[in-house]
Order: sequence, then C-alpha cells, then structure tokens
Amino acid sequence: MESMKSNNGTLSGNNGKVSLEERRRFLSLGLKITGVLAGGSMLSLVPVKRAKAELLGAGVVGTYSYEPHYAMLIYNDRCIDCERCLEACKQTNNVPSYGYRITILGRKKIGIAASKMIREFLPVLCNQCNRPPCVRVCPTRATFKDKKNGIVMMNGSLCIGCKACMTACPYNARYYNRDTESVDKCDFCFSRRLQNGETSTACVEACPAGVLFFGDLSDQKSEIYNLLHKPEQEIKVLRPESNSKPNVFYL
Amino acid sequence: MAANLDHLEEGYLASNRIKWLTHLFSLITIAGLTAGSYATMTGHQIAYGISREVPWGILTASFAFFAITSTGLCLIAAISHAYGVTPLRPLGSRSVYLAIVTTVTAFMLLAFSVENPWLLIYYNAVSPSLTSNIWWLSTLYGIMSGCLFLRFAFLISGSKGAALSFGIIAAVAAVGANNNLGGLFTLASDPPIWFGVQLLILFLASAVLSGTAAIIIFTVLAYVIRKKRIIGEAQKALETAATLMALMIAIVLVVTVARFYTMYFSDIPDPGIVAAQALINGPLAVNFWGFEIIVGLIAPLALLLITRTKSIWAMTLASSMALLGAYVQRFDLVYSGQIVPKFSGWNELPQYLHYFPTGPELIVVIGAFGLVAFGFLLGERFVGKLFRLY
Repeated sequence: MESMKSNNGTLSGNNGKVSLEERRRFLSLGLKITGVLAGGSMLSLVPVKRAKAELLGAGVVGTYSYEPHYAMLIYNDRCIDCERCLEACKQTNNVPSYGYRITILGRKKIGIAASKMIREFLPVLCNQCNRPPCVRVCPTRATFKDKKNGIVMMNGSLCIGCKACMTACPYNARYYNRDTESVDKCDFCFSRRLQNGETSTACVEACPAGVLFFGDLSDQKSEIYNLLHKPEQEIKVLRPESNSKPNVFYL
Repeated sequence: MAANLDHLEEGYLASNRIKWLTHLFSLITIAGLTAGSYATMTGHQIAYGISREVPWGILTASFAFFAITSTGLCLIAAISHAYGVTPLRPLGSRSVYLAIVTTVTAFMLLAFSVENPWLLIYYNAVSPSLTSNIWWLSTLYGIMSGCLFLRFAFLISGSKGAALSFGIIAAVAAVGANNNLGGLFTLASDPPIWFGVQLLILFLASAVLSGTAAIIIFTVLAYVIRKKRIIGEAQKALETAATLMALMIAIVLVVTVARFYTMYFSDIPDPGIVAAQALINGPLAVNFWGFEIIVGLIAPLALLLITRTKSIWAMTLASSMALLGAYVQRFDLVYSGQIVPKFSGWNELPQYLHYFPTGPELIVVIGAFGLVAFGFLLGERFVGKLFRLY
C-alpha cells in the first residue's frame, strides 16, 4: 500500500506529499478496483501487484446494483463464540436442530504473546453473493437472487432436493430441511423481519459483542457504508478464489 | 406391431433356467425399489451416508455411470445404423434396446438420489433454469429416451427410415446430455478439481468406452444363453467394437494424464490440488491407481493389444474390467468434488471428509444392476430375433 500511495503522490506532482482528499480519492478508487464497491469480489489486502493488475483489467467500475443493497460486516476478532446469534437465528427462522443457517467456526492461533495459543472465531452465514453459484446450478429456479434487494432467496415449493446448490455453495451455508422438504438458507431474515419493516437481522440484534453489522450499502449515510469505506482499512471476504462476489465482509 | 412382436420372440429362451434368472433379477430390482422408497420416505440424510458437507453419494455416482453408458450405447447404435459404420451393424438393435434399459435405470437412480423426484418432472417443465446443468441433462436425457423408445418401436414395426431419424435425434440429445452431466460435476463441485476443456472429451470418450464395453459383454452373454458360438458378422462386429474400445481407452488415458498435468502446472486454486491429492496419494488412491488406471484402462488396453482384438474371451474380460474401472471412476468423480472441507483449518476439520454408503444405498445400487440384467433377459427372450435382424 505504501508503494501505491507514493506512486499516487508522484503522479500528483506533490513531491511525495499527498493531501487527505487525494488519499481518500485514491483509496476509493482502490476499493472500486478491488471489487468491494462491486459487492466485494476481492480482498482489499491483495498484494499491490495484483491490485495493479486488477486496475489494468477493470473495464467497468462497479456500483451497488441493488436498492437497498443489503450487506453484513463482521468484526470476527470480537467474536467470543457465545452462540447467541445461532440461538436467535434458530428461534426466528424455525431452524431444526439438525441444521443451521449461521455457524461459528473456531481454531487455535498464536496470540500476541507468541508463546500463548488463543482461540479465534469466525461467524459464517450465507454471503448473499452477487455471482451466486447456487442460483446458477438450481434446475427449477427454486433459489434465486432477489431483483430488488439482491438477497439470495429460496422458494421452497419449487425445490426438488437435488442438493446441487449445497455442493456449489463455497460457504457450506445450505442444508436440507426435512420438515419443509426443501433446502434452507439464510435470507438476512427477510421473510421474518425485513419485510415486516424491521431494519436488522436476528443474529445482529442478539450479538452482545458488536461483532455483526447489517445495513444497506446503497445508502452512503448508513453505518455499514461508512465502516466499510474507512480509508486504509483491510476488508476481507471469505474464499475470494471462488469469485462469487460476496456481500458479507470481514474486518 | 403386435404380430411383429410375436415373430420376434425367441421361444426356446423360455427355459426354466432363464425364467428363474429373470425372476431372481426382478426380485433384486424390487428390493432396490423398496430400499429407495424407504429412503425417500424417511429422508435421505437418515437412510443414506450423505451429509450436509457430502450431499452426493454412490447413488449419484451410479446414476452418472448408467447415464454415461446409455449415451455410449446410443452413440454406437447411431454410428452403426446412421453413419455407415457397417461392421458394427449387428450390434445396432441390441444397443438401442440396452440404451433404453440403462436410461430407465439411470432415471431410477436419479429419482432415488433426489429428495422430491415427482417435483423434478413437473418443475423441469414449468420452471426451467437454462443455466442449470441438471435441467439440461434431465431434459436431454428425457428427449433421448423418448426418441430411443420411438426408434425401437419403429425398428419393431419395420419402419427403418423413421427409426433412423429418431436415432439421429437421440444421438445428438445424448451428446448434449452427456456434456451436461460432465458439466454438473465440473461446475457444481467445490473445490473445482474437475474443470477444463479436455473434460468434455473425457466424458464423450468415456461414454463410448462404457457403451462398447457394455455391448460386448451383453452380446457375448446373449450368445452364451443361446448356447451358440460367435462367428461371422457377429465376430467381426465385436472385433470392431473392441478396436473402438481400445481407441477410447487410449484417449481417456491421455486426457486423464493431461487433466492432472494441467492441474499441477497451471494457475488454479489450491483446494483443487488438495482434492487431486486425494486421488493420487490420499483416501481415493486405491480407487484411482488400482481401479481407474490399472483395472479400468491399462490392463484392458494391454489385453486388447496383445490379442489384437481377435479373442472373444479377452475382449469380454477387457470390457468387464473397463466397466468396473468406469464405475469406480464415476464414484471418484462425484466424491472427489466434495471431499475437501470448505473451511479447512477451522473447527479441527479433517483433511478429507468421510463418506461411506449405507445398506439402503447399496441395495438401491444392486437393484439398479438387477434392473439392467432383468431388462436384458426380457429383451433377449421377447424381442431376441430383432437383435439378429440388426
């Protein structure tokens, strides 16, 4: 990033000094290039060389395609694995005991004091991808991307249970619900909350540690928009190699 | 047509032995249907060994095996009847019939590997998704089986022109369906171990390979149950089929090597390599090296080359080995696409996910093989003379 900043500075003919406004403009361009503005196809922490390659290859600068463009931001280092989000999700969406819409993955990693191993947690749910592999493979259009808000939804009555979407999903976010005889997945609580006028999901409301942020990226005044567009911020997405352009971001 | 049907019956095959065998295979089929129905009623994740992480098991693999074999049989029938490969003609009618039997078997397996099969038929028509490989393959296999039924009916009634036309449509649909079957495991799997242009060649060559192997085995069996020797045109036809099979084995071998070569020396995501390692040096290594490569490809090719495709027993043995290898290949194809956990390194997930078929799954698979044997015996007995008329 340092080399990119100095490049920018040289271009502006400012002898290496870059004004705050120029820096913001450049970072905004960086976000566009790396795909965050296009729904997050890439990490913004991709190596400088790769970011430049993206710049050369980017024919179209992305904008948010939906209105509202729902997205989630997860501060995974704040997660303490209390599982309140899981509980709230199960209760709100009638998720059976053998399935889940959101889960928390865990692993050990070396802490700040190098001798100590600490636990790290990663909440994972449907990433509401802009290029959802599950939608492409579904033979009956039972799963589809909502044209208005971009949420990947399920029409259970059309589901034949072929489970192609389950194999195609890069995030293991789908399971077969025997009670409804269809595949089930997170819909950002659209059917239970958002369409009834509520503005947040059950998991976000239940989280006591401020891990999850939910909002509308098409609204530049929204909290999530501003959190995502802070300068010099490393925004990550899960499994960027699948090129599914997720709308769940990690900090 | 009814009169024609009576003329086609091989009366002397109505022996006690054949009848007993037919009943036995029908019982095996019924057992398979019962196990599949039980699984559909109780739920696949209870009755089968599948899970959220590995949702496709041996039934999907067996569906692929029979569907690909039916494509091969359909193509052999087309090239022998429509495209003027005359030495293969004596195998043409039997290929059409066996293509129907294997397609019906494939549909049975598809029905038991999908949770709500009745919805597949309905929503395939009223809510189609043109980006989905499953939609294309079920539609094209549907068209193929319909055309094969019509073709067979016209063969019986003696309308060769109509039979030929439907044969050509069936062959075109079969190639499309086969490509989409390949595309399903290519594009739906994650991590993407199965992709690349050569995969289409692999699937097509593999289909013709399975088709030739199946027609050789069933033609030899047809002569065995009739207690007749294979001579003349039939011998020549089998030799041509065996030559074709040797060629296909060679193509599949080259493409298999090329597939792994491009995987290791091109810029692809790491998870694909992990899945490839499962085949090369992991839990599927015995399947891959032992069954797919040695039993399925190298040994039959060597056997065919040594005997110069002249020996009937050698080509029967080679065909049996090639079909066994092909079956294991379909299993590996389906399983290796799901074997790597999507979040390796988290939750102390194993390097490879486990799948092992349960009793009901195996009974359904055995039932499917029983259905093919049952269909074969019925065909030889009731329309056996048609297979001599080409």
